[in-house]
Amino acid sequence: MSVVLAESLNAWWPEAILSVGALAVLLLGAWTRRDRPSLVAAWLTLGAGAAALWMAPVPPAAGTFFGLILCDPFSLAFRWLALGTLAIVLLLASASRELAASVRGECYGLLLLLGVGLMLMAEANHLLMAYLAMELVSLSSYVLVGFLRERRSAEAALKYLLFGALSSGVMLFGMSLLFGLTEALAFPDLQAAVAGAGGPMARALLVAVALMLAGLAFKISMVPFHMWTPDAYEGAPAAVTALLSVGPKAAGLALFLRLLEALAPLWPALAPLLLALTVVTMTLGNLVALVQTNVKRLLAYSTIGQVGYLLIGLAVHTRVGHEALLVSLVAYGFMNLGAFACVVAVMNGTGSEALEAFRGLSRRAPGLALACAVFLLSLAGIPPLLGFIGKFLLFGSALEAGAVALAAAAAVNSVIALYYYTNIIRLMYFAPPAQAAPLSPSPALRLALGSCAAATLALGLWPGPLMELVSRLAVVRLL
Amino acid sequence: MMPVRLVLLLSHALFALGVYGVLTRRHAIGLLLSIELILNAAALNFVLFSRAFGHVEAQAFALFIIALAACEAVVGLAIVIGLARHAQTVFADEVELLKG
Repeated sequence: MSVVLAESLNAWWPEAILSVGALAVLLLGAWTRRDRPSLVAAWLTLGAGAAALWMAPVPPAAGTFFGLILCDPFSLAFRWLALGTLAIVLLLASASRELAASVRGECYGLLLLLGVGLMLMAEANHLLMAYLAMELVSLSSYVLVGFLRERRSAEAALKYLLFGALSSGVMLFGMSLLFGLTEALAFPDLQAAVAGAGGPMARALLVAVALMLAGLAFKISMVPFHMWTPDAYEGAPAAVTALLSVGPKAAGLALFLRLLEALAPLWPALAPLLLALTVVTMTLGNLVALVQTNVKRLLAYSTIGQVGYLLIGLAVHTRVGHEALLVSLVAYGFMNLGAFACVVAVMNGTGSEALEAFRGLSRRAPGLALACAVFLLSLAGIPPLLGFIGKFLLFGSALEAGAVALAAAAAVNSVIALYYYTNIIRLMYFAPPAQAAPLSPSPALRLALGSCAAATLALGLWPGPLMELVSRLAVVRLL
Repeated sequence: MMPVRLVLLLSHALFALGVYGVLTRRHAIGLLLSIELILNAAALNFVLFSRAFGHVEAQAFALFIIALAACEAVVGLAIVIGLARHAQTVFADEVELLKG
């Protein structure tokens, strides 16, 4: 075996373990039709993957697998983020009562496969790899969205599939044009080829890049490719929604960041577009969230709003912005997964996903209501929670880059968002419950809620270690 | 000598036809077929450019597109069958429980 291949495989053990394990879990689930064996196998796979990632050697700088993927410190952060998200989502999926026991095994397998796709998206250093990773994520999520045996779920899966397949097709066409214009597929070659383009060539490049970014914008639900988000989130099982709202957003932003680095010479032309879409994304998400009555739909629009904030870190295009983006992604992961854990707990207890189901929750389940309030306040960006640190850094990076209008728009949006987040808290604490029976989450849910709440609180009060870690990751070059 | 311009025209026409189909079709299978046209337009571009540049990697890209288009069709048809079972319809405009 050649040296390159041996070194590549060494750096790639976590993904290899996860993919083989995921297929085994899938087969086990389909074969036994019971969830216990596949759940154990899924946890073992996840544990082995995490151990392999912990021990993974620092790969050669030139990139592994002949430059197809790049296992640098930047992607290492996103690989850990993907594994952490997977762990919490596995807890949610195993505790959720929506899924029939006979199909759960397959669900765990698909969740793990989706996780591999997320890791690959953050590592991709080549257009082919980026496309394959995004398709792996998309194909598993189409199936996962349609996992419930009811009409709503099937409809959501169809809508998601049609939007997703169309946007990935458009992205692919953009990639083929980009290849035709630059004769380059690997990101570093792309950067070299794009540099110094002018006149008609630059305009043609912009068309190709715009088509290509459509696919990415779909994955991170950026306006105008956000339409699928509320429908897919509402129809999908709550645990899957939790994963969709965190995993692909983080991995998509990582890929977006790397692609923008590869297209850096085109940045002056792309910046105004990205800036405008950032403002529109956050405003639309937050405004439409105001009128929602279904909690999953509300969180879907809140996700669009949060993606808008995260995009600030991308749009300002400075090192401070990238650091802020990483910190906020960690914050967003913990608080949004926590919020979905609350949704799963309430759905398990009441069978309803309407906002009304949260009425009087503080009397039925004081601990759950408190945790839920922590996540919602953190999403709204109230100090001293982790969400505040993320937002503070993002808005600060906008001010530092001189984008005062952007920071002002984000601040106005935070005020709008405060209304619908506190509305849920009002329902939980100040409205009488429909039923008086106490509601007690299962141990797996308590673990998920507890770990997310602890991270949101502790990292919010002592952000030092997280910031230090991120500032070390953000100095490395992305290509 | 390959007529690069002609093939480019063909691939762009395929792409436009696909987008037109997605916008006008009602039947879910029709929509999937239109998306397939878009994917094939991209694959055609890759093959064309890789011949023009003498670039092998892009030929592999076209192969991957063919394989993934098949995967997408499998998942898509499975979802359409699921929908037909639960909702007794395969028309995208009759899908209405979820309102944006």
